[in-house]
This record gives sequence, structure tokens and C-alpha cells, in this order.
Amino acid sequence: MKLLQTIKEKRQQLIRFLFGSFSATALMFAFQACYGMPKQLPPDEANILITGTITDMETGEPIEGLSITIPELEVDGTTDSTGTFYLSADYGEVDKEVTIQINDIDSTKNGLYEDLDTVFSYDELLEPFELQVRQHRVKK
Amino acid sequence: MNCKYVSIVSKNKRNPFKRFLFRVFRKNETAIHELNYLFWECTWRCNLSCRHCGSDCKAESCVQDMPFDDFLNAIKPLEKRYPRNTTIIAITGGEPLLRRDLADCGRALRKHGFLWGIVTNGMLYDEARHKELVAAGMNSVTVSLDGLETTHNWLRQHPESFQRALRALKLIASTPQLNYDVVTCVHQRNLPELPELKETLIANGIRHWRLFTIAPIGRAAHDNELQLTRAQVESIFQFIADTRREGRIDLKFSCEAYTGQYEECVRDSYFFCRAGINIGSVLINGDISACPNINRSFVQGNIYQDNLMDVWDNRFQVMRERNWMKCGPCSRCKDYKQCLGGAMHLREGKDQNIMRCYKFQ
Repeated sequence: MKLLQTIKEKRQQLIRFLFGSFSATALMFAFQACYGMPKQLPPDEANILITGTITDMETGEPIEGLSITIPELEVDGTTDSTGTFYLSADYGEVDKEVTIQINDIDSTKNGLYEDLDTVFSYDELLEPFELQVRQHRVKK
Repeated sequence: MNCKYVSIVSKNKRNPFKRFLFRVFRKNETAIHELNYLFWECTWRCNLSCRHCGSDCKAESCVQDMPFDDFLNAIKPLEKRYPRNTTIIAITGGEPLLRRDLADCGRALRKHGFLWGIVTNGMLYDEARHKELVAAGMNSVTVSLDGLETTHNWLRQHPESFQRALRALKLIASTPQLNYDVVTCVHQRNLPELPELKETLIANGIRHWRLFTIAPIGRAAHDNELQLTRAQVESIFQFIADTRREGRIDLKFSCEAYTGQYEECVRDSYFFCRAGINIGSVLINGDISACPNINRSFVQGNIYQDNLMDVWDNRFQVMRERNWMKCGPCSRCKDYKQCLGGAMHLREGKDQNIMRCYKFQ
């Protein structure tokens, strides 16, 4: 009986795989419930969102135009006028620790800031976080 | 009222082979019945009092919001059963944005491997809330917009509801990582406005739109102005078919009904009521069912007494074996094998006849 059940389940999964493999029918896996919102397609491409703000260490003001990069995840972005950034990464790609690199790429438009490299754990990435950067001191 | 729209598309011819393949697919999905879409009716409180509300929510509900920990404990077995990111939690109500802990709930859901989204009227969806929810990993949003400003505000019975919903939609549509759509419940007043509403949505950068008719349940059960004639329903299908052919906005008819000859041109795939097959729900009092708008006589268990996964695995036969739906007008229908008796929410109980049918020949 158990063997028959296993064979039945394998056959069901095979049929599902065959339907999912054809692009024309893959749409069948994307659906909305009545009065529900759309379900993401395909599910295994679901992203995690990494977000936070970058502020000036001395003034506490948000900084626009800083580049933020996570090399391990191959994602990058820039901060908006509120110092906020949003990055998307695939769940499957997230390692236990990643490096977050911040660089000032807009020259002196919003001041000049020192680069920052910092290490984050996987759990820390899932929470919105704040990073502070120091203004670059020009030697006279 | 006569049909307003003159379709440039004749009704699509039925494609028997595609329909056959679809039935194989549906039968297989029913056998697997993977729970990958779970509603959470988190509150019965609502900040509007819409004329068509199916759940009859109130501003000050006497029913307490469900504590999030109760819900999370109930769904933990799903985490072990299914891979991460395969089950989406649809947070609904009432109005979910009335819950101040919504972002915390969402963040916790993401940590446990669930996708999540909300169905909202948009009243409280401002920029600060948008950022908070996106940062908490919100994945999908549906906002209601039921016509042009005057009509929407009439249905929603609030003078600012249109502007606030539109504000919400602009924020959502400008955020690439969000899945979203606009839903419009079509009734006598907003039917002639659909072309202008389409232009309004497109002008505001909104690209995904879904049309409903209003089921005669909840507050809408006794309001004739909210119900449409068959000719008017057919004019909606023609409008959808024409709009889809234009390709300027992704418009579809909801999964609420089988449409007969229009099946090939009003949605991306065929009508498939997935209630109890892929869709479950945890209702405000802990009851376990399928879509929240389904008659509450179909409740299958309660999270405070039963294990959600056990209920899902061993009950729900009434939604997976639908032969009982072949009664009344469905018993004589040639399309029954394609439609399987229509949507569950159009039955007032087991062995009851379907409330209405949108099959067009």
C-alpha cells in the first residue's frame, strides 16, 4: 500500500513538473484568491528585502547618493533623499555572513564621506538597519 | 441598461485541447492539494462602512483582533511541510492596516519562510506606512478602487476614500519589488465609468487591474443597485477582452465564476476555484476554512482545538470532491466538467444550488 501511495505521489509530482515546465501553462501556478492579492510567480524566485538608512555620524542627517553594495549577493543600490536604500536578494543566495560596502559616488554633492565595509549576519539583514558614515577629512 | 461596449473581438472559439489539458492539471492539483495560499482574517475592525461589504465589518468590532502568536503557532506546521517561499499569507480583515503590529507580524512571517501581503482599502496607506511594510518584507498588495471619485466615495461612504486609495496605489506601483493589483467591484453606477477608470489607472502608472462583480452576500445581499443584469455582465467581459487585446494594462476577470465562451479571453488561465485545494484561511475566531467569503457552514476546524495541517490533510473533502455541486441548474449543464459547479462562495451550504451563473454560450 505504501509503495502504491509513493508511486501515486511521484506521478502527481511528475505531471505537475511537466505542466510547470511549459511556459504557456506556468501561468496556471500564478493566481489570486477571490478578494486576495496576487501570488508571486515563480515562488522559488522570492526575494528578501534588505533595507536601511545611512546617516552622518556627526549630524545624524540622512545622506543621499551613497552607493551600497553586497558583493556576496551581487546586489547594489543607492540611497534616496531620506538616506534609505532597498536591495533585493534571493533567499537561496544568502550566506551566513555578508559584507556591506558603502561608497560615496556623487563626488562632493552631499559632502564627502569615507568608505565603509561592515559584516552582517543573515538575521541582521532581515531587519531594517541604520549605518553611520564619517565625513572625509581633507588634509591641509 | 444596454451594453455600453461594442466589442471589437468576437468571442473566442473554445480550444478543446487546451481545456482538456487544463482539466488534467486541475485534477492533479486537487489530488496534491498543497496549501500555498492562506488567508488570515486578522481583524474585524474597519475604518469604512462599504455598501457592498461581504463580511459586514464594523468600525468598532465586538470581536477582538486575533493575537499574532496564536496565528503563528497555528501555521508553524506549514513551515516544516513546505519549502520556504511557497506559501503566501494574505492578511485581510476588516482593514489590516488598523493593526499597529502589522509590520511586526509581517517581519516574523518572513523569518519563518512565508511570503505575505495585504488586501486594503488604502485609507491608512501613506508613505511612512509604505516604507514600514516594504521594509518588513511585504510581497504583494491589493487595493480596492471602485470607480471614479464620486462613485468610489459613494460606495465606500467616505469623502476622501478615492484620493487615499489612489495615493496608496501610486506608492505601490512605484515599488518594483511589490506584486500588486487594483480590484474594482463593478455595479450599476461604475459600469459606464470603466473606460475612464482605465485611463486614470494607466495615467497613474498602474498596470494590474482585476474586475469583480458583487456577490449577493453580506451587506450586498439586499441592494439591487449593486447587482448586474446578464447583459451588463457580458459587457464587462467584452470590455476586458478588448482591453487585454490593447495591451496597455493587465486586466483580468476575477476567479469568481466560469464565463463559458469568454474563458479564453478574460483571464490568463481557466476558471479554477482553488478553495480548499490550494487556498485555506484562519478566520478571526480561529475557524479554519477556505476563502473568507465562503459561507461559514463550510468551516472545517478551529486552530484553538485542531492542528491546522491535520485539518488540511484530512478534511476539506467537501471542496475537493465537488460532485455534490452538480445539482439544480448545474445538473443539466454541458459545461459542468469544465466549471465543476462554479465558485464555492456562491453556495450557501452543502447541496445548495448555485446563486448565479455567468456562463455565456
